Amino acid sequence: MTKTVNGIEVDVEKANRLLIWLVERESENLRSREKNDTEMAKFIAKRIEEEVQCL
Amino acid sequence: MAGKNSGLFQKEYSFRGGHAEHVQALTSKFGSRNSQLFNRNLDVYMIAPLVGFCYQRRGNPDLTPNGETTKIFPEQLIKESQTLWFIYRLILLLDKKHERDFETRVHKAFRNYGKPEAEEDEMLFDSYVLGGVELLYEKLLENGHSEEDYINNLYDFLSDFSERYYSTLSADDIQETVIKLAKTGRTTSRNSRV
Amino acid sequence: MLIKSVKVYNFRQFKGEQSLDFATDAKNNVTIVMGPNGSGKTALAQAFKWCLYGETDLGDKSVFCKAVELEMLQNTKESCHVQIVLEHKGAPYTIRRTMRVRKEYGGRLKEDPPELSVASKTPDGQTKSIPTPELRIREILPKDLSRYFFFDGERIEKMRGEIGKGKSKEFPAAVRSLLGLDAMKVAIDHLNKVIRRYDESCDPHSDARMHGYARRISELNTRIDQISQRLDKLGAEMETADNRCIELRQRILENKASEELAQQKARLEKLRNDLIKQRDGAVAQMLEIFNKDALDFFAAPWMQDAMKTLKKADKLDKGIPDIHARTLDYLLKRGVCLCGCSLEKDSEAWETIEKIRDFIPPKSIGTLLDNFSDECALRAKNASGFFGQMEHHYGIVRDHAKNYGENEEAIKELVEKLRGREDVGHLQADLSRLEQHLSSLRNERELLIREQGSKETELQRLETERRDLALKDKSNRRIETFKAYAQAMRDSLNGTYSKKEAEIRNDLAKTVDSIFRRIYKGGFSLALDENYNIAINVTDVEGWRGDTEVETSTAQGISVCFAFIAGVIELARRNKGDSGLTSEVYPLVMDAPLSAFDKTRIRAVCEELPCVAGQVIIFIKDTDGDLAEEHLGRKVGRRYTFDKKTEFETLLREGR
Repeated sequence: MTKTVNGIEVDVEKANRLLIWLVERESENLRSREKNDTEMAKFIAKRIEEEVQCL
Repeated sequence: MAGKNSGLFQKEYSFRGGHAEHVQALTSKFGSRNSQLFNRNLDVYMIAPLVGFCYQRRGNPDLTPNGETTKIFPEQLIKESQTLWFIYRLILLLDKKHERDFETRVHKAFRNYGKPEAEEDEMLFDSYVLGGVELLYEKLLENGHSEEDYINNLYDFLSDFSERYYSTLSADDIQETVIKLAKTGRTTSRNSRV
Repeated sequence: MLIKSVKVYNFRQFKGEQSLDFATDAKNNVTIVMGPNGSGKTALAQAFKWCLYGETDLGDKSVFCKAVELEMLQNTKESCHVQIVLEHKGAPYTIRRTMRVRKEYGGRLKEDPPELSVASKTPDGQTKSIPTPELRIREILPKDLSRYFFFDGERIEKMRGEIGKGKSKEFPAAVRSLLGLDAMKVAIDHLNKVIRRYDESCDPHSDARMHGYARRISELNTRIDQISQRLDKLGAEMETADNRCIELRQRILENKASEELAQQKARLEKLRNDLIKQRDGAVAQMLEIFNKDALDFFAAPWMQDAMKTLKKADKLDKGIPDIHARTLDYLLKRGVCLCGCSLEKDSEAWETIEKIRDFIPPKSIGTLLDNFSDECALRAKNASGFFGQMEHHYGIVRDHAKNYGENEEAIKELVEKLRGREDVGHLQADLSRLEQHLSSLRNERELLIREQGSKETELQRLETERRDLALKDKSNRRIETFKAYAQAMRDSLNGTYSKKEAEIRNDLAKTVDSIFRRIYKGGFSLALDENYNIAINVTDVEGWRGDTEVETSTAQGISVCFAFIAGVIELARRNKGDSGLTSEVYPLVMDAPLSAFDKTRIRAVCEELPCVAGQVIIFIKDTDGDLAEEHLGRKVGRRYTFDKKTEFETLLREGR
């Protein structure tokens, strides 16, 4: 299933999977305080890019 | 079953340069009990193309002179050739980017293998092997220094793969799941990581 | 959680040791503490906060009794402490915070950092010291929720003032505490950061204006990142210094060697070896399974695809039916085809016949495809158990890593303890040095936060301008795709968070309103809109009998405070798991400016309070004593009076 955001087609299942992964990681990071905000943003961007490119 | 002319999966295979270093690292022993992530070069060679295909990573052979090399002997390849051809077929049957037409893909997978016409297909397969080697190194070894790191990386990698390809989630579940996770975090054993 | 007693020693106006035992009986659960203004009611209320969290809201941060300080000779030592005995989930706890002081030559008072100890009793009556006191207190009552159970007069006054202007910060703060969805909030912030980053990246060969924006945005981001990194580092340094301070204090306390400790250590060392063995076993299992079955695991999703795909293959050309390779062998050997043509070796006819081999059994594609499908099915079956097994063994590895870590910590602690007496003076010197360092770090942080604020404002302005430009540039399509995903995720989370926030806000508004109506016997109601603006409406003009304008708004404001406190407590209890509360009943410790009300209102408030909390400890002016007795009398279990002897000294007496 896809939906359109800003003129781009987004695969909803992929976006949902990413959401779940994100909230899990954020919960864990709040506990461990391993990454700061900048590192988390980089980490999240990398994951989005990888997931989008995967089949 | 092996092709008459190309020698794929029949001749000695060499990893070169950076890839050879990665494969050596992936098969090296670590920890107090001499554990290994991959027992043999051949084990890397079998998993790498699938992983390269999944992540759409293709690599080029590293031909810098005086680089490292590490090999797989022909006897080993021939012994596992049934499995290797299986993997080869799987990839060629499903790679729509490489070949759009379904019938042509079937031919590539089941008829042309091993023949001179298959040269570009064999190059595709090899590029997935090399891309897969790079990815396995990145995911399993790059950010790790100890046995604990490698095991954690291995689990994370398998877990990502499992979540991506083995689970299904409907749209209704999403809101509830996300709220639950925000409060409690993950329920698997990853929670207890210090 | 119920408070049984509080003991203060040389704390603020309370010279020497003075104690209060609180009413904890279910029916008579109110304790009244009465005294004139300035006698120390607020100080006593703050004693709870100081004991539990090491902080006060008092303007003068020094908690040591001034009367005692005046009497001290130079170069002498004294101390002050607050001890709370409470009951939580059936177990008794004794929490004690002690601060030692020394009067130096020259008359200055030097204060040591306060030391915290928490002790509990095991079911068989043994006293047990809790090694992580701050953590245990957080479990019993987390600081950000404690502010709803300890409400002093100054804070009521401040909140009343805010309500008078139509909006109080206490409301949104309470909603956030009750929500407990920090992970979501922080995820939204990070996604916003990611989206901003994508806006920043652009092809430098395109429009010169884009390039200009990119450069300026990049410079700003670099500086903001620098500040952010420095702030993080500061935060970490401060936390390290803080932890080190706690550690130093702890060490100064525990200076005793003991034989029992040595025995404990030996036991733990044996446990350590067992843990290592178990873990190694699990790791070996994981790697064995991986090397055996990983291939099928990675291949399985593709095999599913392949099997689906191959169903289409039925339509493919499968060659000539009912001809086998043996038929061809026969024809080629005899040299004559079925049709009668001659078949000479290596002729065109010969080659054509050879080519047919690929299409007929045993090499027909039909057979190959069937074999392939079968192999896929077999391997897929093999793959299904793989990840479950890996998870199982990994779970063992993780559990043991945690247990191992805790065990090592415990061993380390024991080693430290067994090291014997240490030079306490040396430790004290380290402690003071660290505290000075902490103070200068705090200053630096203030300055940086301000700079960060102004740079971020400018950045947002530039990014908005650039974003509008970027959408028109085709070469940014790939980046736009990533950005679209990040935006979809952020919008989804925002929606969920806002929805939940609105739910809790409405719940709180409804609860506070119903309590407010009970206080005003239906004459007034309270509404809270989505921006947390407060509106008090008259519902029954006839029923309202007020005295003066001034009393009305002040009393109303305070009634809103009471209704708010009661409402938050009720919601926190209802959403137990989410908000961090683990107990059934909680005490309410508050200042009550009863004389601001008229008689009807006082009765209504006094009727509500004991229903809301399991235990009420209420501080009132002595002039309100009669009022309190009249309306709370039946529920009062204990009474105390503050006897103000001098500016600096107050005595607590039981009774009226």
